[in-house]
Amino acid sequence: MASVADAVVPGQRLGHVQEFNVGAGTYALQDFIYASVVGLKRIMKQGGDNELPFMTVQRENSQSAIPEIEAIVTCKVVRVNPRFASVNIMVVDGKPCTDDFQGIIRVQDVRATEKDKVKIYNSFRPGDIVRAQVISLGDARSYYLSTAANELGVIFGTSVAGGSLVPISWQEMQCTKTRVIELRKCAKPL
Amino acid sequence: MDRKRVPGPELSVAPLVEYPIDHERWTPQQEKRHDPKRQPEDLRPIYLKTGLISQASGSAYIELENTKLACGVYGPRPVKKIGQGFSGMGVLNCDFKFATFACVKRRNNTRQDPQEKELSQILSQALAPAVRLELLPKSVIDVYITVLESDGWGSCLAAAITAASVALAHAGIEMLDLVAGCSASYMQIGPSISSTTTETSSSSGAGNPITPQIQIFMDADTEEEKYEQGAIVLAYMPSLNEVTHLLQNGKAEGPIINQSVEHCMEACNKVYAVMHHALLESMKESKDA
Amino acid sequence: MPGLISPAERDYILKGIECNIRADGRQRPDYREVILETGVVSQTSGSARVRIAGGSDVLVSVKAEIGSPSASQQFEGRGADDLNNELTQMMSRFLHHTKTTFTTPSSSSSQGSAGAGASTTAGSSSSTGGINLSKLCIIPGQQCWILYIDALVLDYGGNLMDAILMGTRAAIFDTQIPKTEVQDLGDGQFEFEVLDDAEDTDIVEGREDMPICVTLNKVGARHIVDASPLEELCTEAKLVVAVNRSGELCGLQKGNDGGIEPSLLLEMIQFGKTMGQTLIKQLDLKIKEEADSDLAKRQRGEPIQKLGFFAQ
Repeated sequence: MASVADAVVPGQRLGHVQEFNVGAGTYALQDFIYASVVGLKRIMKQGGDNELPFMTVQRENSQSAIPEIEAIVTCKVVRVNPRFASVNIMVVDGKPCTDDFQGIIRVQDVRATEKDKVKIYNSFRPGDIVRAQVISLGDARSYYLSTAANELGVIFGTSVAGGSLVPISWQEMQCTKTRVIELRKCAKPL
Repeated sequence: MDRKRVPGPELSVAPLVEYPIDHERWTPQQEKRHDPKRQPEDLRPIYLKTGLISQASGSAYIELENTKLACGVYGPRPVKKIGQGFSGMGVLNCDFKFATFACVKRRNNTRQDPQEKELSQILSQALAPAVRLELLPKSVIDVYITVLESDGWGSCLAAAITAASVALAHAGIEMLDLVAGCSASYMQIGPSISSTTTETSSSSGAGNPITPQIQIFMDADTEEEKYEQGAIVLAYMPSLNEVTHLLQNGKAEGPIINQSVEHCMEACNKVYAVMHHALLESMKESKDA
Repeated sequence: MPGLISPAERDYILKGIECNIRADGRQRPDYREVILETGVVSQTSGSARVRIAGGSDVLVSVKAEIGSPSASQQFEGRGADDLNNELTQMMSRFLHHTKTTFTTPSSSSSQGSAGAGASTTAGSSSSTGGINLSKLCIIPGQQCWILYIDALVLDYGGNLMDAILMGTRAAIFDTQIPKTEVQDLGDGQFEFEVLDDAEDTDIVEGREDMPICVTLNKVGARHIVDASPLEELCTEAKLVVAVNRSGELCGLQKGNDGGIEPSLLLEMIQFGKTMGQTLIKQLDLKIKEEADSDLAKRQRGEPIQKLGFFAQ
C-alpha cells in the first residue's frame, strides 16, 4: 500500500538514470530522474532481469486528455460535406476530454480500399458516434482522423425515423424500429 | 462615473478617525518593521490550499495575511482564438485581475488595465520555463488569477506565481518543477529618533556615517512599500536551481541587488516547503474522500 | 521581421555563440555601431535619432507642454499589442518611481518601415529616472511642464529596447524648456507667463542621471548583447538591465520564456552594469561633441548640417 513517503510533487528527485528507466510522469535531466506531476511514486518491473525497472509517478489528479497521434478517439459527427466530416472529439484512449477538440475525417481517410468511391454522405451522418484514429495534428483548427480499419467507424447512430441503428454489414446499418437500411462506414463490433 | 451605484451625498465629509494619543505613524527604522513581530528577513505566514474552485482543472488559494488571491487553472483545452496558427507547443495563457475592491483605490473591472496586462505577461514568463509545454501541442492552458485583497504590489505578484504553480500541479499538468515567488523591498533606514544616542553612532561610526543605510525587508506590505527605494520580485525553481523571473525597480547599488537576490532565493526555498506541504495535503484529502 | 527560425540556422547561431563568434563577425560582448544624432525634428523641444548599424532605427521626440499635475500618473500604452505594452511598462519602471509629475509617453510601432507609429502616452514621475521633477513645476499643485516622450520605430533590427532608451536619454539632453515667470496675485492665486526667448531656455535638470538599458540575451549557457533579430529568436531568456552614469542599477527585468541559473544571473547583472556604464560614457561624449560643434558653427554663422534620414 502506498504510504505518504511515496507521495511526490513536481521537481522532486527520484533517482539516477543508471538505476531506472524514465516512465510516465517523470523526466530525466542531466543524470537524474525527477517527478513531473503530483502523485505516488511507483517502480515498475518489466522485461528481463538485465532491464532497468521503470520509474513512474501515478497521477493524483489526472490532466484532461488531449489527442495524440495514433490515439483511438471517440467522437461525434457535427457536420458533413462532400470533402470531409467534422467531428467533436470527446474521449481519447478511454479518457474523457473536459473540452471538445475539433477533428475532421477527410473523404480519403474513411476507408482503406476504393478510396475514390467513398461518399461522405454514405459513410457518416451528423449525430453519429464514431471511433477513429488520430493520424496527424492537422492544421491550426482540427486534428485529422481516419477510420481506415475494420474496428474503426460508426459505433452508434440514429436512423431518420429516430430508432437506433444496428450494423448488419461493414457498410450498412438497420433501424431497429422501421427496418430501413441506411449506409454507414460501420465499426466492427468488438 | 459608476452609474450602477448610488453615490454618496454631495455634502459628505470624511469620517473622523481618532488615533490614540500615543499613536505614531510607522516609518522605516532599522530592524523594526511595520509589523513589529516580523524581522527584516521574515515572510508573512503563508496559508496555501488547493481545490478552492471545483469547476477548474486545478486551483489554489493563497493568503499572506492581507494579501489574498485565488488562482484557477483550466485546460489543457483546444485553442479557441481564431487566427492563432498551428503551434507544436502548448500555450500558457495567464490572466491577472484585481477585484474592484482589492486595492486602496477602486479599480474598474471592465477591462484589463495596462498594469494587469503586464502582470499577466510577467506571470506567464515566470511559469513557462517550468511547464512542459512541448507535451501539449495545439492546446492552451488558461491560468486565471483574481486578487481579492492586495497588500503590497510585490508580494501580490510573488503570491500569484506561487499559487499559480501549485494550481498547475494540482491540475495534473506535467511540470519540470514548482515555481516559488518572493518579493523584497529595500529602503533607507533613518536612525530612529529616540535612540540616536551613543549606541547607534558608535555602531555606524565604523562605516561611513554619511552613506545612508539600506535595509532589505522581505515580503513588504503596502505601508512599507510607501517608503521603499526599490523592490525586487524573484521567481525561482528550487530543485532545478533556476531563476525563472526577475523584476527590479528603483535605484540601487550592485551589492544590494546581489544580496536581495540571494535573500529571495533563500525565502523561495521556504515558500517551496509550504507548496510541497499543500500539495501533499491535497493528495491526502482526495484519498480520504 | 522573421517570426520563425529553422533548426539548422538556430544550431549555427548557437554553436557560433559558444565559440564566441557571431554571424556578423562580432564577439559576444560587442555592440554594433550606434549612430546618434540630436535635434533632428525642429518642432519638438528635443529630439534624437538612434540607429544601430544595420538594424533598429528609432526616432524619439520630447515635447514639453503645460498641464495640470494630476494628469494620468501611469504609463498607458495606446495600441494593444504585447510589445507595446511591454515596452511602455518597462520604460515606466525604469524611468519613474513615486510622486510629482513628469509625463513620458512612449510610442512604438512594433516593426516595419516608417509611418505607422501607434502613439503611447504615459505619465509618471521619477526618482529612478534621475530627472529633477520639482524643477518642472510652475505653480505647485496646479501647473507644471509635462514632458511627452514619443518614440517612433522606423526600422526593426533587434535590440529595440536599448535603442529606445538611448534615444530617450539623448532627446532629453537635447530638450530646451522655455523659462516662465510666476506672479503672485495673493489669495493663493498665481499667474504665469512663458518667456518667448529662444536663446534663454532651461535644460532638464538631472538629465545626466537618466538611465539607459542593456539587454542581455541568454543563448545556451552564454549571454550576448545587442542581439540581431535572428539571435533574438534563439534567445531562451533575456535580461534587461537599466543602469545610470554612476553605475547604480535602476531596473531589472527578465523576458522570454526561459530560466536563468542564479550564478549566471548575478554574472549577467554585473556584466550589464559595467557594459551600461561604458556605453553611457561614450554616449555622453558623443552628445557633447555634437553640441559643441553645433554651438561653434552657430557662433560662426555657418549652417548646421544634419545627417538627415537617408544618411548611411
